Amino acid sequence: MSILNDISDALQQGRVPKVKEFVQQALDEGIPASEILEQGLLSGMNTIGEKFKNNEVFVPEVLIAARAMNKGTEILRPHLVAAGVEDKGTVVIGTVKGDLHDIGKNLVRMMMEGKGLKVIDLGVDVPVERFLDAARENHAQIIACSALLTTTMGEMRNIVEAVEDSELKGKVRVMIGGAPITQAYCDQIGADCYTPDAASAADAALQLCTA
Amino acid sequence: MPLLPDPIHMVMARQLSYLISQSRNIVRPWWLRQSYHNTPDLLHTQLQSLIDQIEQENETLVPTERFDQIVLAYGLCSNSVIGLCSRSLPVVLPRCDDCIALLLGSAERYQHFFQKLPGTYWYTTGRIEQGNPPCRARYERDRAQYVELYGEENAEYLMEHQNHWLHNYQNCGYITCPLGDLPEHIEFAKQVSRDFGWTYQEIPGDLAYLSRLINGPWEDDQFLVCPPHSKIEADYTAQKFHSIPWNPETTGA
Repeated sequence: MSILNDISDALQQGRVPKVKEFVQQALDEGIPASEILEQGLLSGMNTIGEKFKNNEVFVPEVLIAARAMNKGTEILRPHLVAAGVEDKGTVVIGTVKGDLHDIGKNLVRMMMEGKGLKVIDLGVDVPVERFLDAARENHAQIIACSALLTTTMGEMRNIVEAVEDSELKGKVRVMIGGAPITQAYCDQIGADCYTPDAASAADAALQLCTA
Repeated sequence: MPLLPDPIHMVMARQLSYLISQSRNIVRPWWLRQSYHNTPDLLHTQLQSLIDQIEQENETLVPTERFDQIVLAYGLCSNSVIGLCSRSLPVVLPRCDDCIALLLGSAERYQHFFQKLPGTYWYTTGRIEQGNPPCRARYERDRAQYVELYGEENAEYLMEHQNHWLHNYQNCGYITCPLGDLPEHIEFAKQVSRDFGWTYQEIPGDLAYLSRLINGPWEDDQFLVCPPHSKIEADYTAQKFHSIPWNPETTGA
């Protein structure tokens, strides 16, 4: 349907007013909200995610596309709730204690939201217990933690161990990411998943939640 | 489209050049630009190709002019040094996280300030004159470029998002240069502190660690000496890394 393509295109260009206008138009045409979400907004976001993975677009393009998606979703939300559309999973995300950087973490959050996941963002400088408490309160399937510094990445090991030692063991998976993080580090601390970029993180999270 | 690439700059140029000039060792420096730490894979590739290049060149030199070792003025630097291999020369590197420890004089002193002054963003003479650090002018320059590329409204949003972390920091730590500071650099750091709402902290720099890097001795608790046919492996402890045997013949590298 061309209006859904229009939504996807406008989203990829980060054109918020156009996205809002087209989403409203699609609703007026009687297209179900879930279809507008899946084939318009999420489809556009998926394209941006793929381009980002392939280095065809960069962080600013992803940020403005994600913003456009969020604005479009705001219009759809009451219709989605009325139609009983559920989140595909819940993720608790944050930057580890001692680390104050949030660009990467926010990007991952947006990409995950773009996959239809509910994301609880705990911000930066998040102590181990807050990750676990938030996972309990929100019945999350995933704790996703970010670190930019080699001085703070050790906190990830503490999070993995705390989950292992709690009743969340086997129920909550720990995902890790950030510039100094590698698959080797993930293997060494026993985290469940490492991804090298935000788009892959969103793919992996969706897979973990729907597996 | 990414922002304009940063110019080539070397943030420890003054300190290292001074120490090299004073050293009894014959030191030939190679320089890499600052800010590769943002792309650790790229920095890793640059460092490995430099090691390879130096080792290859070494083979062509007359025996009396050959190098004894390669010394890297890099700590973990976003784990970029992990996996580096040497074929024919020992590779020496300091057991620290990054250049802040080198400029503060020890890994312990960096850890001390990391705990004592959480939320400190570090400024140095080298970063100010060559490193394009965060400041009002850079903010305005980035913003103007975003307006041109994505329009006024998106530019505002992008700047807010990409600079949000600045507000999470509380201190500007200016590491003084033991060789002398220019008043305009101190004023620059003070102005940044005012602009971003940070507390200005002046921390005396110390050349001791860099001096030992250039002159030795390379005590095992402060430096890794990675012998030929070895690879640097992470161990995620205070000693940062160790070396493991590596055979270029069997790995095909």
